[in-house]
Amino acid sequence: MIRRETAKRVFAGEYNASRIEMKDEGEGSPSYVLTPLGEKVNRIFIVGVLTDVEPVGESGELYRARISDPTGVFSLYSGQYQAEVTDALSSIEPPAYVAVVGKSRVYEPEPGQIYVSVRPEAVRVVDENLRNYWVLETCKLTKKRLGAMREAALMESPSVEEMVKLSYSPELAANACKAVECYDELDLGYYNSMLADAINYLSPNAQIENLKRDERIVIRQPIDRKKNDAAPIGHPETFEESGTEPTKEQLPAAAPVTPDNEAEETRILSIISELGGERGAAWDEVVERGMDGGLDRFAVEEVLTSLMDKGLIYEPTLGRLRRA
Amino acid sequence: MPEKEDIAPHVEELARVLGEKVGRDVTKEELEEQLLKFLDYGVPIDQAKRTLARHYGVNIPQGETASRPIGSRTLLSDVRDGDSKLNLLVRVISVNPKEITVKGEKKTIFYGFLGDESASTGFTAWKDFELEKGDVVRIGNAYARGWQEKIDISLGDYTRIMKVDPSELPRHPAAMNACKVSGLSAGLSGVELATRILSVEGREVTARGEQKTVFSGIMGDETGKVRFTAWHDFGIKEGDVVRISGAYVKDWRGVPQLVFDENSTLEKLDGDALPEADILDEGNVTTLAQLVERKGATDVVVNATLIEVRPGSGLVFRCPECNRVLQKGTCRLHDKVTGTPDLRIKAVLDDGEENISAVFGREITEALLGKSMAECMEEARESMDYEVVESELKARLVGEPMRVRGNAINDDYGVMLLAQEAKRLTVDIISEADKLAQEMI
Ligand SMILES: [Zn+2]
Repeated sequence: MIRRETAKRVFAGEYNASRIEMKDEGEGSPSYVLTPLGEKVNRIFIVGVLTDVEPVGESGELYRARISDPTGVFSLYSGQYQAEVTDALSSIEPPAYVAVVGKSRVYEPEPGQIYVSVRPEAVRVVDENLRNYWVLETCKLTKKRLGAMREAALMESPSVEEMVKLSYSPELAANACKAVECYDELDLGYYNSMLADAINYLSPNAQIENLKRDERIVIRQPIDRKKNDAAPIGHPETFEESGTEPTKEQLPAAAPVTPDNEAEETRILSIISELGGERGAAWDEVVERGMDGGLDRFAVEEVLTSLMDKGLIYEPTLGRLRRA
Repeated sequence: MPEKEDIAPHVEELARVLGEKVGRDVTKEELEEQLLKFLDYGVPIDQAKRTLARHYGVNIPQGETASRPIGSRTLLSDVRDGDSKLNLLVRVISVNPKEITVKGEKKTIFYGFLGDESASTGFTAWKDFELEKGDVVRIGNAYARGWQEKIDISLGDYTRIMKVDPSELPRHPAAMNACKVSGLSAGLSGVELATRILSVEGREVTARGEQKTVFSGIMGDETGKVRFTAWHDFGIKEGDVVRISGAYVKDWRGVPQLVFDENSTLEKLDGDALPEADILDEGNVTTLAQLVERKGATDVVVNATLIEVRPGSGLVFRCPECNRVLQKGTCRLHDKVTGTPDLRIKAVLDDGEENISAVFGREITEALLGKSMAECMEEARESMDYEVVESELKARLVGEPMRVRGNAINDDYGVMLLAQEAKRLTVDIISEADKLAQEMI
């Protein structure tokens, strides 16, 4: 059974510094962005300030939005296949506090050169209080990851088993070890300062007394380790800074399909054709029929999301599905 | 494969049993070689010894192999955080696989509970020892670690496990497992628990042709609440604080339930031993990860973000016969019927570490919407669209942190929280941030 992906909370400062895309072993694993502090992000939840929304590319169907948090700026790309979200986004007058549920996207103009963005699934205007709650929650979860990363970095060869002995959950332990393994150079002191700044953002008078902002805890891998030509870096670098502008053709980077997944996608596609009609197939009916094939509801919806990502289907109106 | 020195005590034992035959019919070296061969083929050590002894004309009766574990045995109740090279004789109470990713590779680990006559303890096996529920095993070279204030036995690459005859570990007296309510998960047995009875009622049942009164209700401690059923009249009353020994935990409609009977013992404790009922009734905040691990729970509180309003939320119509939600005015069982309106939210709750489903009924939905079902019906009529309510729910709730209280049930689709109360979560953000600041280094 495919579990629904948990929506991860990471600050832009951490997310944008991600240079690793990964999949779990086994068929049908979705792809994840592995952040420098070891969060595996497929689905993401962000609350921040929408600073601008603008069409990009020639067709004018793709919109880019920017959402600012206390540590940086998220880039969102939304196109015609997410019509409802795109409409919602483009009708919001910036600046506005928004909550966004989305999927991580990777843009790789050249091998080794990785930029991450977010493809929104849902967006809603919220208030400042909710933004502050998100910052608080994200601080807590970031602090947890940072703690695990410190432990993993201190180990000669990071081991999940050793980490679990230190009371980290197997998942947190595995992700931290993976991040230490994947990132050639990691400046944990930088993220410690980022976290302190985010806490001070909520409570300007909070005394963070013992924080040594200048002390850098840097993970360096042994020299004999294979290096990519473009060495991953530990500091955030947004699209703005890099000067590269992804074009519509290059976005979104669809994850490779495993055979099993492909079979399910083909099956769901034919269900949509079959149920289709003038208004398109009703979402619920597609899901119900999809479930007859042994998938659970979430799994069917994951397949639908994947088909949408690839532009094979779209939602002409809310709750209806049609083949592109 | 066992090392030579590991089996030396077993060779000695075998030699003792064979007595004067050693040196005449067989040498110790040959015995060792033959024993090793059996072990290589995965034959449990006791069976191997019995087989070899029989081969040389000596019968070792079942249960009398008295195979000394290598090093002396430690009772689970004596295991401390950090102990290593542990030798245990335990029964596998439960075992579950779990997928984790290590260095990019999927790996299956196993976790569950081990019990002996002294206690029962969680374990994690880092490889597949082919443990099965009910197995009685001798474990060599395990180690223990603290895990959320509990001890967990780790079985790793250097751990040896031998299945032995279940009779080697008598079931009675049951392994008493001193538990808190939050630690109860289906499959646990030999549970010992001090709780306060929060509610209890008796009902008549007929079991094996006999009229019997069973007592069920809710009990709780400072860590949580659990449904219970007593198959024996212990004379418990609401408000009693009791210590129950020899209970077990069963899955009851997707929720763990504590069951005890005439084989269990119940002792009334001083009322001060646990907080008063109204304090216990505040509800216990649990993380979504804990709920998923426990596979459901009775009366819990979760703080999580409502991340999605699922299709099928808002105004729905139910079959007057069977209460199923109609699809296009049609019941799956009763075909075309005139439906009774209802209001609900099917939601996904997400705390950034785990997610679960949740269902909010009519009253909660009305409160969250700030309007009654009648008003919703009116709106739907005006816009000629019943989905208008679902859209409104999305527009109001997606991304909202909520405090939800209810029973969590577990089924094939995962954990679902049936909400009894739900409201927007309010948090003193500045004081929480100050608390975090103090923990920074
Ligand atoms: Zn019906």
